[in-house]
Amino acid sequence: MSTPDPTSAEAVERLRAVDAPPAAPEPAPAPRRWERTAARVAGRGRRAAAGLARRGLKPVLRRAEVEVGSRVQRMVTEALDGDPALAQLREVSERGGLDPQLIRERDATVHSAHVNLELLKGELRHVQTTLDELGMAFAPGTGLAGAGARYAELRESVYALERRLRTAGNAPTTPPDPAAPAAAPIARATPAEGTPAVLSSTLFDYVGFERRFRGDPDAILTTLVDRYADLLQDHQPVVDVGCGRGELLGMLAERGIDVIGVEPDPGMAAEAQARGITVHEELAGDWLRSVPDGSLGAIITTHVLEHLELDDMIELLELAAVKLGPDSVFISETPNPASLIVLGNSYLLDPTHVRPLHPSLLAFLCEKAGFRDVRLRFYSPAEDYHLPMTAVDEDAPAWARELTESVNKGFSTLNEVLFGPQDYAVIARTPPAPES
Amino acid sequence: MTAPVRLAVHVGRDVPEGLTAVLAALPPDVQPVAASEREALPEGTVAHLYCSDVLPRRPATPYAVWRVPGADAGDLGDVPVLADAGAEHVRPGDLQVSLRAWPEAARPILPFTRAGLRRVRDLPGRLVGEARPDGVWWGVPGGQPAAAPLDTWPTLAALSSAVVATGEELWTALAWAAPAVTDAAGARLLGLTPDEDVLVGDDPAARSRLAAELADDDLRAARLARSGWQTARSHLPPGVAADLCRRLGVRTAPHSSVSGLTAALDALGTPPHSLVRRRARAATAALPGAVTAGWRPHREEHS
Repeated sequence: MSTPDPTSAEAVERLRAVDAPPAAPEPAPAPRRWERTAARVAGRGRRAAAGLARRGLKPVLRRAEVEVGSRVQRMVTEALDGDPALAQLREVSERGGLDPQLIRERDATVHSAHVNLELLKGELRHVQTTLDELGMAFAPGTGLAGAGARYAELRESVYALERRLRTAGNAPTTPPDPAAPAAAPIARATPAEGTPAVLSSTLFDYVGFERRFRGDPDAILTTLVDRYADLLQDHQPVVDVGCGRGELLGMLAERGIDVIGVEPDPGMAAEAQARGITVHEELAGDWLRSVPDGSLGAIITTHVLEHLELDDMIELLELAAVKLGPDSVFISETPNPASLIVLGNSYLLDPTHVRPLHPSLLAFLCEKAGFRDVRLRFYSPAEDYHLPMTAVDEDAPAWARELTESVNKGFSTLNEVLFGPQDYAVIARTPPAPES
Repeated sequence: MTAPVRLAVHVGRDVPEGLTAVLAALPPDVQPVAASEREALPEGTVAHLYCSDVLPRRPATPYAVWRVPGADAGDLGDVPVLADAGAEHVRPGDLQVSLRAWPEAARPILPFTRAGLRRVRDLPGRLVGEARPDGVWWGVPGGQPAAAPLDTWPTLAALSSAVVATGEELWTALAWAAPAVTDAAGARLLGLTPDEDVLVGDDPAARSRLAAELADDDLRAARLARSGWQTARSHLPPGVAADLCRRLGVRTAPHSSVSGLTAALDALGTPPHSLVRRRARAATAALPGAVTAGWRPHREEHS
């Protein structure tokens, strides 16, 4: 471009310069004589008039120039005053930007500001280091990603401690549970003797352990309700042996089912009672002995029997068979040790497990205790571990199809043995009432 | 310091015209490398750029496609597509690469500033510039235009309330952020959206009429000017390269902007009510009476 700045006055002048030529390109016809004379006269007249006008208008123009000039100057001054950037520039200038003394003072101030900034940076780095150290202290082993879970565990531990304290404080003066039937005598004077360690241990934090390893409690609870609620609905009242905090009973009660809980741990029993559930704070055997024979509709135990010694378990089963009414159900869900992934992992993980209960053993014990129609149900196969089945096209050679079939059969067996159902339940019924 | 991320470029027989310019304009920490399906990808490759005639059946993701003229890349869905500006197949949203030179010293001039410059230069309050095949013309809206030298078109583009232009003159006008009226072909060639970036008139008379209307509608003129300027800028190789990186998810280290006092204060973490903030607000405050209070063509900035 020929002009450095198209917005400059010079560029606009170039623009304007061409304005005139197109305005007067009118091709004039050849003038006649009288027209030329008239034009000469008119030209002289215009010149004379212009001379007169210049002489007459000169003072007027001068006055106007002074007036307009001052007005323009005022406008420019106002515009400059209104410009904040110029105001700042002027302010800096007024503060003596060119004064050597002020320059020295300004440099000193800037220097001290720099020093202060560096000091602040140093302090910030120190705080950052402290925070890092704190973070490292807060994240032992598992890192901060598990902080929420660890916090939940700690909270549960605190609750457990509180329960123990409450138990310790109340133990000497706790009156007998008024809800317990008084007619039936307590068979054992010292029920804690011979009971499994899980019920009497004061060192192992079972609640925290369960919280960490057993999985999402809500999901487990929902699963239990889905599995057994319909069956229990038809057999009331339902007794949950080892009901814990009464979550399952709470959900069953919400369905209108008549429920009773038995829980020897005072803290858990209190929490279950807070749900509005009838809970007996004693050992299952003791309570069962106290109730009339044939008075119960159903008994359910979830992950309890594997914590009992063999004699206690047999006694519990026999008592259950007696106290349940005709055609009532006994449900017991336990880990399935026939699935080796369970035996090697989750079963061994829990130190309070007394013995693995093979499904056949539990079914046998139930039959011996007097139940009829003992059935086993298996749940939750460890499908995540399953070895994949292979497939071949139909037009594959025969040997390939046979090989695939045998491999799949082997894999299927391995899947069943290694990664079979993780839980099972024995569902046993008492004999129906004799026909009158 | 982290190693530069690499953009694998798969080039076929025909090298797109604007490819070199876009690759040269990639951010400094994004390194374009020539790639082939038969060779291992260089370490640090995070995205791919395929020319459409070598697009494999299963392109490695994330990827972009340069739509080579004459090659059919099929339906690419949400894949970023690049094309030379003026290519036949251009969808809305495609990255169009313009190899036109950005007019030297061109800067966006806001409508308010234009009006001020016209007033100072003793030009009409409303001014329409027209670039026609028979030359450059200027005048008041609706009036008889006067001829001007050809090399004064940048002046008209910088000072007019509205301009009528096609072809390269439209490009010049957009570079000066002039509210522009053009024809359909001109808008398509530059990838401009009618009624959003420019106004489109079918014949010269309609374009003149639209320009006259635009010159009297400051708000609409301001919007058109901003949008047209932004679109034109986005077709330049640096804009295309930046958009390509963004759409491919190629993250680069943020570059601190030296322009924009507010952005600089933000970057410094200056408290919102500090003295320096107040000073900055005062310095960047909108001029009184401005229709386009505070906007700059490339960034929304509110005081």
